[in-house]
Amino acid sequence: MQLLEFAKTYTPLFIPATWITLQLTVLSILLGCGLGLLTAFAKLSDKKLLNRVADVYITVIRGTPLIVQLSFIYFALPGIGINLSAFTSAVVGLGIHNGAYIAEIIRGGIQSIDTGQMEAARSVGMDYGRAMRRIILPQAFRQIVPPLGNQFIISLKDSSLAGLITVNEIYMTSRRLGASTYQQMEFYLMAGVFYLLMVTVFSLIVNRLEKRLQTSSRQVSEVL
Amino acid sequence: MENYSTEKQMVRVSKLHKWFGDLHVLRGISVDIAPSEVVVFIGASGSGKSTLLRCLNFLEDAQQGEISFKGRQIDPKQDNLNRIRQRIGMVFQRFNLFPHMSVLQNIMEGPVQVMGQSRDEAKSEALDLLEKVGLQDKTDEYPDMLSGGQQQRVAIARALAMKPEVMLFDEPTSALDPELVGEVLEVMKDLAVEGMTMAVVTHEMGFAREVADRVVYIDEGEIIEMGSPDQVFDHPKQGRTQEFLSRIL
Repeated sequence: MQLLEFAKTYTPLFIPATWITLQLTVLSILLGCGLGLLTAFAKLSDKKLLNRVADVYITVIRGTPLIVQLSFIYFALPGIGINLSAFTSAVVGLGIHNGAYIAEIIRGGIQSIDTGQMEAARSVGMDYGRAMRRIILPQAFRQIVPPLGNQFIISLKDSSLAGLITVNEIYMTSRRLGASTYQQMEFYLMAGVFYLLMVTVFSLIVNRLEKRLQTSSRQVSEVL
Repeated sequence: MENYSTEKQMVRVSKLHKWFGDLHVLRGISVDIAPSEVVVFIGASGSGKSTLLRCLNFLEDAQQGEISFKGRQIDPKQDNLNRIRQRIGMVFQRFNLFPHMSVLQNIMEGPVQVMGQSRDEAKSEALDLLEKVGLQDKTDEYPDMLSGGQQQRVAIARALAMKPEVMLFDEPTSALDPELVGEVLEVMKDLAVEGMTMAVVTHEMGFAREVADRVVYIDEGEIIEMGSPDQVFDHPKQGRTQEFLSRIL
């Protein structure tokens, strides 16, 4: 009962924080998808230099903690004259981070498609780009969606680290309020509930998309 | 051996060499294919005959030698291979139909996307082709609903939709259950009768004997013997050919 009362009182304070968390998540996913797509094709390219660049990017990002990456962008880059706001730093950092993981997801999806598909497409005279768009990607899409949905959920939770570079998202808000009111238990529980709710909604959307793809994967080629 | 002048050849292959790493799979192959000629390549698996066929379509890059198409030498680095591939149809051992497209879409895809044909025109031509391969009742099915033989016939129709001047068949019946082989060979026979220029890699010796104008025996990346079916099957001159034939016939 006490907790409900508490939730009622403080939920309004969490609304702007939730909005920021959502923004961080969506923007970093969009940036991550763009970077991921580019990187996946760089890795699949027959140009050695592009392979190298993609490898270095993926190795560095996957090999270092996200909090170090975010701190580097927000606290260290100003040292060489690059000043980004906390929010922008977070979006860029989370986006670059997502991109490395999404690149591997997309590459895996594309490589899971039988090489005979590309050969058949080329044999009717399609160029590489058209073969990708019309033949390979629609088939790869089905492989990509489940792990991509998973990555989206991870990036929603990862956005909490933006709090440590002073972005007032859900985690930072609960930490601040908890510290100033000495109600740590209540505020962290509340943060947890907010994340859980958002992840649940997210999962539902991804699951529904997966289901629809199962039944209508054949129409994907019409969309692309 | 050749009495033809260059212009008369549809395809001319000259001293073709291909390596996969250290493996020397084609060792100086020279062969010509005249218009309307059906050339059947036979040989043990791993002899290089499929690789040769894939080189003709530039799906594989030969490191040495020349390939000419209708009297024009093709430079894979300079020429637009997409253009050339439009004129050379290819049928694969494992069909490689597009699983996310219906039978009709599979056939229309090339003409619409590559040749810029209108959907209506492409559709009516696709329907004609499906009738030709005996699958007019399968237009809206998806590949996974079809038998292997039916899939391969769709694949042939898909290649024909581009109105190719040469058709390459890479072991088109090797992945089929024995009872389905006949229907595919039947379609190929019809094509040969209509005057299609064809290069066929196959283990179907009956087909080779009946349909081929010329049979080419390849072993270890070299042409060992080449001639009419009679000559190669009944009076092989080379010991290696005799040995190969005795093993499979």
